[in-house]
Amino acid sequence: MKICITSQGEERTSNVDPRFGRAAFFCFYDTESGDYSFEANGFAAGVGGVGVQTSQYMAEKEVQAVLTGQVGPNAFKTLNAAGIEVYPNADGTVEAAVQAFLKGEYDKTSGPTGPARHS
Amino acid sequence: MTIAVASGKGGTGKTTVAVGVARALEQDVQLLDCDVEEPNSHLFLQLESRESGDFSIPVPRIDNDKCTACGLCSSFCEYNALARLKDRVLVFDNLCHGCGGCRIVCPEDAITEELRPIGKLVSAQVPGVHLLYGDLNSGEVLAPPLIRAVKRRGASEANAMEAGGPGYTAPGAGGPLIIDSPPGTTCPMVTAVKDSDFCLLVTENTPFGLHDLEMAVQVLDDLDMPMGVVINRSDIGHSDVEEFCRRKSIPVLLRIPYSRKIAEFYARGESIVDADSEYRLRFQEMYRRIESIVAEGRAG
Amino acid sequence: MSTNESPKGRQKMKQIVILSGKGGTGKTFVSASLACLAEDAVFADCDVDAANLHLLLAPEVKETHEFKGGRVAELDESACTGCGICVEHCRFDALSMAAALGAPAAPGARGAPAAPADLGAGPAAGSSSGGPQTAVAQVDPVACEGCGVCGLVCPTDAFSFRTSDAGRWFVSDTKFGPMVHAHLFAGEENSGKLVQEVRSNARTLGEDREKDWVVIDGPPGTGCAVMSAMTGVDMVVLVTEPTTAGIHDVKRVINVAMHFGIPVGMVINKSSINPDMAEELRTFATEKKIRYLGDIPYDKRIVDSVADLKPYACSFDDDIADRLKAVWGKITEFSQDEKQ
Repeated sequence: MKICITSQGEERTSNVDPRFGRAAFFCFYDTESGDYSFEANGFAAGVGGVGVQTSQYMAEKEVQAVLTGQVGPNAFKTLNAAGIEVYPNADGTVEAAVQAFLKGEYDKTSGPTGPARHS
Repeated sequence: MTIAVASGKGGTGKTTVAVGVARALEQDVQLLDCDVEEPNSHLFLQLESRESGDFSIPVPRIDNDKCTACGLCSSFCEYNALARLKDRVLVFDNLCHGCGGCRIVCPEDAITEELRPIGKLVSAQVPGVHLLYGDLNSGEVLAPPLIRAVKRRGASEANAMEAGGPGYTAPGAGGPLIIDSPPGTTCPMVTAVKDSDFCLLVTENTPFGLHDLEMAVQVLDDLDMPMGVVINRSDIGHSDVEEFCRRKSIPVLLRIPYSRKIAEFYARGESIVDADSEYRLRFQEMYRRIESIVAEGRAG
Repeated sequence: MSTNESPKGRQKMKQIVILSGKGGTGKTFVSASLACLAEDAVFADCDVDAANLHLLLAPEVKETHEFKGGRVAELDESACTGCGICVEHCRFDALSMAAALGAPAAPGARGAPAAPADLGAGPAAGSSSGGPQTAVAQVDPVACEGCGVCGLVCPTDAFSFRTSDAGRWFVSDTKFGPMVHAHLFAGEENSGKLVQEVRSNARTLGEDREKDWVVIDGPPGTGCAVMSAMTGVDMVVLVTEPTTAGIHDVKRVINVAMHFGIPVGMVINKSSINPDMAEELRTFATEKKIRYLGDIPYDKRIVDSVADLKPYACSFDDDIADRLKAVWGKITEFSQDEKQ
């Protein structure tokens, strides 16, 4: 399966970015091949509805789970409707977060983790 | 005649002046409080009657039976208020500006509109003053539509009176219209003051007051609007506001020296004309000067 | 799992925003003092509409950046037939019919503005002095929200959309630390977006230079710009005054802060002008579980310090400076209590 981890940088050793819609980078990890790929987040500087845009993008990329810090109500609504699981409160390096996820150490959330955010 | 009361910097005394003028004039007056994020005028008037209605903007509703998830609505939307997923489209009311474009663009006619309340439009009365104000709900960001609604309501009540409509007597309609504008110089302020006959800028003789006055003057120049300045707490500070006004040929129409009594009355929510009855005359005089400036402008 | 330690093993950088609801409560006087007291801080002036903090901190501008605002519609008059369909559809009062600015066409060359039968009654078109033959649509760029509907409905594709040059943002040095500030051009909107720009650059600057604090001077009101100034901070410092209007407006700001789940601290400025109301504010703070940070009486010395552009707490050594230092002390104390 394909998962996405929000990242502050472009390396496996970069730290997880606690923001979802405005994260600096997205890391896509394929659990079958073990491959990591990084992409800069083109939505980060948007005016509004960034969480919505980012979530739509996750659906387009056929991501099945998102590992991040916080997810607001608009983003959660979209991810949930697209059938994407959300694992909040991830931290440490991207690599460590992936390992923790694979070991089943993260709990998915059934709702947004916080109120609407604007930056 | 419509007079807007604005200020570059907040807290200089805009509402004090707007309410003061409305109370001081002998004719019946309409006061429109367009500071919809923080409407304050009503706090300084002992309101006798108050009627409040919802102000709403239209947001899209999608008929899932007709929707094919083609995504045209979502790509049209500038505000990311529509998210296209594989088999349906999600609507985000809180991001929608109510432009109506999605409904037009949908090839399946799957979108209708529903009204979403974003604030209140309130109508109230005291002897001699008919107050209209907008109160934007907490967390909402779209001030300009509500400001326009307050102004439209004010104008339609004035028109009904002038046209001698069927027994319609909107109190204050037909008399002067005073607009209490939001502070600052961005979109909400411009929306509130535009199309007025005259704009009063309330300032103070401090570096902040002068700096923000300069910006407000620039906005009014761009709108080609006649203006005048009121200097509040005029005896405090030494920032050459008067010099600036002289240079730009802007009349200083009133100076309000600092008075502890006025400050105390303000703190309690009582108007300057109650604290010092002399201001009743001074505001009336200022209004007459504004009338003649506007008349000269029309003739010239 | 809650810790204040970042991977570098230092205290996590704290962000505070100073707000007041209405203007004139003395927010900038308080902000400037807190800014000069904060050791190892970066400052953000998020009052982009009427930026005043820089007047007290005297920044030296090191970098200037452009800020692009939202979209604005532009009309190609030569393609406009004066049909008025765009005016019918604009929901923001940004379109009207007016005399053409270009060279007048031969009489009758432009069609008289039609009242499109299927659109129902609408505002009268072609009412200006140019006469119906030369009436074209006119965009009010301030009212225009850039939604694109006019472009959608125009039968001759006469509209295009440009991004407006809406302002500037700056990175500067001050005596007390680096500062990010901005200026929104008069009449522009999207102050929320510019505030975001200031916030994110201040945060990056703070992280790069390993600062302990980001001290943010917030805008007035409770709208978009305030929310952008407030999001992601560790504490809102609310400067209030004991007046009817002050109390009314402060409640609105508190609602927004609670909506965001951010702890709030309250400073009562000009506390001596109405001691009863000041007491009312203190009671209100307790009820709402707002941290009380202190009060500052009305004093001419404060008025003079602002007129002379001096941040009080670092320019004077007296009882008022002590009160400001006590407020800062409470802020640092409360921020250490907060679990990350």
